[in-house]
Amino acid sequence: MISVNTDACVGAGQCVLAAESLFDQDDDGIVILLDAQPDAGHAVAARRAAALCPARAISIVD
Amino acid sequence: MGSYADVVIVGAAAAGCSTAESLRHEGFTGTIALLGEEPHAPYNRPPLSKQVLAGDWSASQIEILPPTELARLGIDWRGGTAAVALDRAARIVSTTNGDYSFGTLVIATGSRARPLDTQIDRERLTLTLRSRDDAERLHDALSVASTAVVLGSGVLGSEIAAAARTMGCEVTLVGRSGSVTLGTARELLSRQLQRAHGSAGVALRLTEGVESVSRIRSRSSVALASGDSLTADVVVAALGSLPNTEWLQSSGLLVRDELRCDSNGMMEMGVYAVGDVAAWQASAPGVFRRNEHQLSAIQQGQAVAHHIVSGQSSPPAIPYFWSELYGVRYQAYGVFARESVLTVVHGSLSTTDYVFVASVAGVATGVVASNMSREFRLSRPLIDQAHQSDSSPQAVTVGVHS
Repeated sequence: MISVNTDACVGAGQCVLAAESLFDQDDDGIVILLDAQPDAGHAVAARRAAALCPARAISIVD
Repeated sequence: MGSYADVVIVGAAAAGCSTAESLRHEGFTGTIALLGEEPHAPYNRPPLSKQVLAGDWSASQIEILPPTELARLGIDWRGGTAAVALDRAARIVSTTNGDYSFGTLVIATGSRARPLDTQIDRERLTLTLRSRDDAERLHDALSVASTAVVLGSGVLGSEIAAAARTMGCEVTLVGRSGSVTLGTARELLSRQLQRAHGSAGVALRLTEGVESVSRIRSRSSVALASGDSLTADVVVAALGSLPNTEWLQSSGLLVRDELRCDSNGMMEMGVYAVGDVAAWQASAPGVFRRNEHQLSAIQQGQAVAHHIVSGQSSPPAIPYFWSELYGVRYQAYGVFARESVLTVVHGSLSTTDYVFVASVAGVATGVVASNMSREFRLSRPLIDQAHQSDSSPQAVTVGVHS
């Protein structure tokens, strides 16, 4: 299960570059979570997106 | 006597935490000790000069890994534990809390604020901003101040000036270089940032030396080289940082006071350094550089964890940097040189919304955005391609300080 903290998001877009089927950005660049409970095939990409977020705005709970 | 861990990480901020967490994500099952000098649970530094300084966020909102999460990951975090010496032969780190033997050592002790020279500030009147405690102290001081002087026209100076101004202070920003710089993007945005400070009512003195800071009743007086003096309730020095390497003085690891690592972050077998303290091998031979940015710290931690677990290298990371001033977000990706040619690809440099590409000798080396985050992200692959495909001397050398 993925959650995002839009207050912390700085709009770097790292998550979209790491997993574009899970994340997008709004007009201000703030993260939009496209799929909070992706299937297991997306687990690595989701983890990578969370790990590369400079603001640590993405959490993943197994 | 003492404790043992398979990996001992000295320093529990962004780089140290990233290393610890990444080791687990890489499947590492050995013991990990994460030693932090501060008593606080690991926290993120970038918001300190932004949301925390302005009083918008509490300290709990900047935690990297709460103690419960550290425990769940099997990371033995020890707060209030400062390293004091390293014995490489015995593989022991001595700390204020006992000795730690290690299989592998990761040095992540970061850097500290460079204080104003004691000859200039004899009474230690200037504040600095580096830690969570510093941010809270500075916030409290600015809350009751009506005037502030910020020394240093780098990004931290700009962020502090903006926060102080937003909190209602009369602010003067004093710099020496003639420019307002913005991290990796250097002085390329100086004109735009000067305009932003000017519109907000911050006075700029950008070609000034500071002769002395002294006390006048309950206020401070800053004497400038030009002969003027500024009186303020709060004086803050944002003059860059010094790596925390003193505890390694007798270790034999320092080369010209630097922790020089190869491109995997390794100094010798089983000894690595990450984050602000570490000078990693750059793409140009013989060049070692500290990259003092949050994402670099995170990526170095990931690369070192990967190397410890698999013995494999990670591709070199391209620097990313961001700041926020007066509600405008600035981002930079890539490397930038003074002689860069700027090509605006979205928006206009005369507004607060634009994206430009910086090139040297026709090679795109970096992209910068003011707001327009989506357009910025969409422009980044251009820089990735340039860094991957172009191994011309220009693309390699633009990262070196000129």
